[in-house]
Amino acid sequence: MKKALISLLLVLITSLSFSQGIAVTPVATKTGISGVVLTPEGNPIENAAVSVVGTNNMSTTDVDGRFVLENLSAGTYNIGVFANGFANYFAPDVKVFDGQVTELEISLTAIGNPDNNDGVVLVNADDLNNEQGSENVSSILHGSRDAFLDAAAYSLGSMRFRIRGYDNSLTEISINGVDMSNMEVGRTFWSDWGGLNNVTKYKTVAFGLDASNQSFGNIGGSTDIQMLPSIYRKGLQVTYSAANRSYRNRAMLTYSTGLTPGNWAFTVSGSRRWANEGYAEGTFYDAWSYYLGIEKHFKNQEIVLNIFGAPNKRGKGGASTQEAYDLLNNNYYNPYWGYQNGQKRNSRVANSHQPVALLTHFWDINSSTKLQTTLVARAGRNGSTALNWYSAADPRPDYYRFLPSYITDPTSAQMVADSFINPLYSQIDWAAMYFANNNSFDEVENANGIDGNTVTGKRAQYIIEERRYDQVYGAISTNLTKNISDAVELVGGLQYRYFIGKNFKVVNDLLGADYWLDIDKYAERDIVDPDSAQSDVNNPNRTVKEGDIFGYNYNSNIQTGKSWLQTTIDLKKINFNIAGFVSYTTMWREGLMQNGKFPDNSFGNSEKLNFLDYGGKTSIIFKINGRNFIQASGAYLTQAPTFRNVYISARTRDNTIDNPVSEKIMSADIGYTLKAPKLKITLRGYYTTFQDQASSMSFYHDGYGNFVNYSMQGIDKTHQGIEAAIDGNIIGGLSAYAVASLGYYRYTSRPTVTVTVDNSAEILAQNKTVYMQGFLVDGTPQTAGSAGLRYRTGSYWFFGINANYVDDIYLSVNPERRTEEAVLYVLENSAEWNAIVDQTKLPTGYTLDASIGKSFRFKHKYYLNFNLSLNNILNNQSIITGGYEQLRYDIDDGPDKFPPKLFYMYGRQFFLNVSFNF
Amino acid sequence: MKTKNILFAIIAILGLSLSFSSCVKQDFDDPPTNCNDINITTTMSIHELKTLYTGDTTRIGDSVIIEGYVTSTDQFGNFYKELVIQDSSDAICIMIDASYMFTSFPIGQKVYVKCGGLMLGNSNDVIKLGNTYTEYGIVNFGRIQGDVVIANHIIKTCDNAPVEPQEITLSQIDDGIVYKLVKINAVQFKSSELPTTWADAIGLESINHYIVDQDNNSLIVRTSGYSSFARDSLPNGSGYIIGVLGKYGSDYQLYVRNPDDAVMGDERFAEPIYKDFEDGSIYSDGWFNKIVKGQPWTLGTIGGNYAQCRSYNGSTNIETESWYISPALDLSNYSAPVVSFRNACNYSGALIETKYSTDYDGTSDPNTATWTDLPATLSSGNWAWVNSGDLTLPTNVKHVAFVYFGTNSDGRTWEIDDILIEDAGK
Repeated sequence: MKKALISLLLVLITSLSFSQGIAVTPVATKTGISGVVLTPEGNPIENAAVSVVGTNNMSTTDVDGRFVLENLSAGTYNIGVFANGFANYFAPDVKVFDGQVTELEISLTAIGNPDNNDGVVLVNADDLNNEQGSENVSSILHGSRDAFLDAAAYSLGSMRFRIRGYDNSLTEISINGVDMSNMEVGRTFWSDWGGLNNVTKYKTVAFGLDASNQSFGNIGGSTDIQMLPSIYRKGLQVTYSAANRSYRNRAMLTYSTGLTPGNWAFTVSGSRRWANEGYAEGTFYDAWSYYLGIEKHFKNQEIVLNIFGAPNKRGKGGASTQEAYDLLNNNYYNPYWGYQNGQKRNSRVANSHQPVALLTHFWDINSSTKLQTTLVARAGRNGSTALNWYSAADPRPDYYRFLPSYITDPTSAQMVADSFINPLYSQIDWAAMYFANNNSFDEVENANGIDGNTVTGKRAQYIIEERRYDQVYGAISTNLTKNISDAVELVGGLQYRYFIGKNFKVVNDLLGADYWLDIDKYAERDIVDPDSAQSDVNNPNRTVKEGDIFGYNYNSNIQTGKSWLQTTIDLKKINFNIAGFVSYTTMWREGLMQNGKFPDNSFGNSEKLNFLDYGGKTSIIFKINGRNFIQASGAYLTQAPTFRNVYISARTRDNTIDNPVSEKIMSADIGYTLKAPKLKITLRGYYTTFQDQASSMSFYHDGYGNFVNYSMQGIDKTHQGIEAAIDGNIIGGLSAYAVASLGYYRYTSRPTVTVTVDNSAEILAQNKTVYMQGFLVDGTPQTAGSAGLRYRTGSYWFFGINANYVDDIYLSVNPERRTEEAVLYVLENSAEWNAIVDQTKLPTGYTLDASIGKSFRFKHKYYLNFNLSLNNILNNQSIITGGYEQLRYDIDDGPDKFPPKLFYMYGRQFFLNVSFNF
Repeated sequence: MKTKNILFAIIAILGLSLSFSSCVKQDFDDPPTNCNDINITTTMSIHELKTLYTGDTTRIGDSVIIEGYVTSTDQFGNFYKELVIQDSSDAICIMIDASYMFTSFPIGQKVYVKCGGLMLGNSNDVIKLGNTYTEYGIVNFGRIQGDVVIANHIIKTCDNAPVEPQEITLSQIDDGIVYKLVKINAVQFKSSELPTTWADAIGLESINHYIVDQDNNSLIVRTSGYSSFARDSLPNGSGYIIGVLGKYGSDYQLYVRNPDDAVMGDERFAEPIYKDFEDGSIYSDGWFNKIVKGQPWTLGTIGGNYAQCRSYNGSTNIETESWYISPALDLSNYSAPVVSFRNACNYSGALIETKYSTDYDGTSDPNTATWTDLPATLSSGNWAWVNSGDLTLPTNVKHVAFVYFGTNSDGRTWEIDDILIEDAGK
C-alpha cells in the first residue's frame, strides 16, 4: 500500500513538476512540505522566506537553501517564496498527503526577468501609445517558467513578436477565473490595470494547448491573474522608476497586511506614471492607478473583494509615410501634434477610466472538492480624440497633398521639401484652424428641429471630437474542482458574461467656434434628400456644443453563456487531459439615433444574432523520466465572430455581413522538453488553421469616389512553425540561453468581399474575389531569435546581455489591390503589376540589450533593489516593426500615391527601477 | 522601530513632492492667432504691377511688394484655385494650387504679396499672377504650388475690411475693370433663359447665363457646375448683381461669390427683343418664316449677318409672298412699345411691308389674321442701309412681321438686320 502510495506520489510530483517547473524527489517523514530554493543556475539561496499562503506558517531557508513547513494536514496549498534579489515566486496547488512530506525544488527567476514585474517594465507597454493597440503586451506577461516563453517574452517583445503569430484574442486572460476581455473586439487590454504590477504579478499560465484548471482557454493558452490580498508580500513596498519610454517617471506604493491572526488580509496599492513628453515627440502620459483588496478567511471558505481602476490620459504617436520620415530625418515623426501658443498640443488623446470590482468566493467543500466563484462588474469611460472637419482643408500635416511628391513643379517641390522641417508645416497648425473657425459665420435655419429657429454665430469648420467606447460589463464564473482519486481530477465550470459597448462621439473642443452643425458632409454632397444628411432625423439640424453627443450613438449588446468540463489523469508515465466546452453567444445592435440615410434600420434593436460554439482539446505527456518529457496536443473549436466584424457599418445602420458564421480553429502541436537543474531545452512544432474568419472595415475609396464599407468573408489562414529554446548554466553564476522561432503564417483562401457605399447602402461590388491566397500574415516577425548571457554574483549583483534578431515581417495588405479591377489595365507580371500586387517585406533587424541589478538587505528585514535595463543599446533606428498599406488606393496613379504607413522601433531606451521593501 | 518611522516620513515627503512635480499640463484655453499684425511698405500698386507684363511670361523682380483685399472666395465652389485681390488702383487674379482657401483668406482679408520670383502670365488673354512649372521638360505658366511657397509670398494681416463693389453699368465694361468687384444695378436674367439653375449640377458643367439691362446691353454670368449653389434657381426678377468681373478670351464674364450676390426681387422690366443674326440663324429665338408662295427668307452673310429675301431664285423670278414673323410677344409690361430695324435693298420691285397683328395664332396662313401696316422708313436701293425709325406698337401686339413681295418678272432683294422691339417709354 505504501509502495503504491509512494509511486503515486512520484507520479503526482513529476506531473506537478512538468506544469510548474519544479523537479521533485520523494521523501517519507511527517506530513508537510520541505524543499530547496535555488537560483536559476542551480545554486542554493539562503534566507529565502517560504510560506503557506493564507496562513502564518513560514520557514526561512538555511545556508543550503533548505526549508521545512511542518504541521500541515493533508490538502492542497499555495506556497509563496520571497527572496532578496529574486522575483517573488508563487506555486499554487501543491498537494500534501497524510504521512508524507512533499518535497519541492524551486528555481527562482532573477529580477531583470520580466516574468515578474518587480523589476523591468516590458517594452511593449509602449504599444499603448500608438494606433496599433496594446494587445501585444499580453504575450509577454507570462510566468509559466517555460524556457521558450521566458526568453521570447523578455527579449523579443519590443519587436512586436507574437508567439505563434496569434493576436491576444486567442489567449484567455482572466482575473480570479473570470474572463476580462473586451467582448466587442475579443481582445484584452492590459492598460486596464496598468501600474498595478504588484497586485497582478501572480498568475497561473497555461501555454498553448496545455490544460488550465481555471477555464477551457483558447489555442494561445490562458493566463489567470490571482488577485488575493493574502498572497502579497506583507509590508510596504515603494518603487520609483525613471525611463525614456512612453512615460518617464513612475512611482508605486503597495501596502499589504498579509493574513492577520484575525484571518483578514488587506492590500492597498497605488501608482502614478507620467511624462510631459514621452519618447516620441508630442506624446504625453498622465496615469494613476489604485487598488484596494479585502480578504476574509473562514473555516473552509474565503471571500475576497478587489476594487481597482487605472485612469489614464495619454497623447498618442502615429505612423507616417517613409517620405515624411526622410524629409525630417526622423523615423519617429509624430504627425498628431502641433504648437499652440508655444506649447505642444496633441490631437489624439486617449482618456480612459473603467474601474472594476471583483468579488470571489472560495469554498473547500471537502478534502477533494473545491468551488471557486467570481463576480465582476465594470463600467466607465474610454475615449480617444481626433480632429474632424467640415468644408475645409485637411488638417493633417502629412496629407499627401502637402508633401513635395504631390507638387509637379520641381522648384516649388524643393522648397516644400526644404521647409518641411519647420513645425508650421510638419506638425498640426492649430492657429490656422482657430482662424478658420473665427471667420466662419453661418446661419442655420430650423435648427435643432424647431421650425423658425435660426441659429447664427461661428459655425465650426474644425473641431476635436472624442470617440467613446464606454463599456458596461458584468460576469459570473464558477469552477468546481473535484479530485476523483489521486490520479484523476475533474474540473467543471459555468460562465455568463454580459457586455454593453456604448459607442458614440462627443464634441471635445470647438476650437473657438460657437457650434458644430451635425450633418454628414458626404451625404450633403451626394444625395438630394435633405433628411439623408441628418445623423439624427428626430433632431435635425442640430447645433452641437462641447460635451454634446453627435454623429452616431449605438450600443453593442453581447452576451455569452459557457460551460466547460475537463478531466486530467496523472499516471506514472503519462499525463493525459481532455477538455470540452459549449457556449452560446447572442449579439445585437441597439441604435439610439435614427440616421437619415437609413431611417428604417438604424433606430432601436436589430435582429439578434446567435452563435452556438463548441470545442475540445486534449494533450498527452509522456514522461520518459523525471526530466525528459514529450507532449502532443490537439484542439478544435469554433468561435463566434466579433461584433465589429459582423456589423458592416454599425455607426449608421444595423446591416450585417451575409450569413455570419463562427470561425473554425484547429490546432496541434508536439514537443520535447528537458528540465534539469542546470539545463533546460524545449523543442516544439505546431500547426494551426483558421477558417471562415470575417473582417469589416471602412475607408475612403478613390476608385468609387466614396466612403465605403468593406466586408471580407471566408478568410482562411494557416500558422505553422517550430519553437526552440535552450537555457543552461555554464559555470558558477554564469548561464546562457538561446531561443528561435521559425514560423510560416499565411492566408490560405481567396476571401470574397462585398463593398457598400457608407452613406447609401448601395452595393458597389458583391462577392468580389480578393486574390490573397499565399499572402503572409502581417504585424509580427515570423522569424525571430535571441541569445544572451546572465551572470549573478554571490553579493547579489546581476548582469545580463542579449542580442536579438527578427525577420520576415510583412506589411498588412490592402485587399483592394489584389482584385481584378486593380490590375485590369496592367500587363500581367510586369514590373507595374508586381508593384501593385506584391506584398512588402520589411527589412531584418538586430538589437542588443543589457541589464544590471543589485539588491541590498538592511537589518534582515529591509530590502533595496536597483535595476537598470538598456534596450537597443546600438540605437538601431531602422527596424520597421509594422505598418499598413493605406486602404485608400488610386487605380490610375498606382500604389505610390498613397504609400504605406510605417512604425519604427524606438532607439536606445533605458529603464531604471528602485524599490524599497519594508 | 524608530528607523522605520523616519524612513516612512522620508518616503511620504518624497512622495508628496513627486506628486506635485508630476502634473502633466494639458490646458489649451487661449486661442492662438496666425495673422500678422504688421505693416509692410508696398513698393507698387496692382495697376503698376500689371504694367510690368512684357507680353510673355514675366518674372517679377524681388523688390515688388503689393497689397490688396480679398474679394473672391472658394467656399461656394465658384472660384477654383484662384484668389482675387483688389487695391485702390486695380485688381488681379492670383493662381494658387490650394483648396479651401476661404478658411485662411476670407473675403475682406488684407494681404501683402511679395511678388519677387512669381510670374505674370497670360491666362486666356488676361494677365494673372502665378508661377511657372516644368512638366515633361516644358515650362508652363500656371498656379503657385506648395503651401510653404504660398506662405512665403502671400502674407496675411489681421485686418479685414471687405471691398465696396464699384457701381457700373453694362456699357461701362472695359479692360480697365477686369477682376474688380463690381455692382450692376437694374439688370435681370434674360427671359429666354428662365426658368433655370445657376449651372448644371448633375453633369457638373459650367454654364453661361446672360443678364441684360434696359439698354439691351448684356453680360455673361458664368457659374461652375461644382458650385454648392449650382442647382439653385436663377432669380427671375430684376435688381442688382455683385461679382468679380473676369474675362476669358474676348468675353467678359461675371463671377458671383455666392447666390446672395444677386438681389433680384423687383418686377422685371421690359426686356427688348433684339435680333442681329450674329448667331447665324434666322430661326433662333422663335422667329419663323411663313411662305404664302414662292421664295423663303434666308440668312445673308456678306459683310455681317442679316435676313434676306428675293424672288429671284438664281435663274428666274418666282411670284413670292414670304412672311418673316416674330415669336409670340408679350409686351403687356411695356409702356410704349416700338419696333425698329435696319434695312437695305437693291434691284427693282415691290417694297417690303412691315406689319403687326394682335390676333394671329402663330401657325396658320398669316392672311387669315388681321394685320396693321407700319410706316417704316425704307432703303431706296444700292444696298444702302437705313434705319426704319421707331414704329409704335400697341401693348397687346402678338406678332410683328416683315412681308416680302415679288412677281415672276421682278423683285428686289430685301435685307433686314438689328430688329429691336423695345419700350420707348422706359
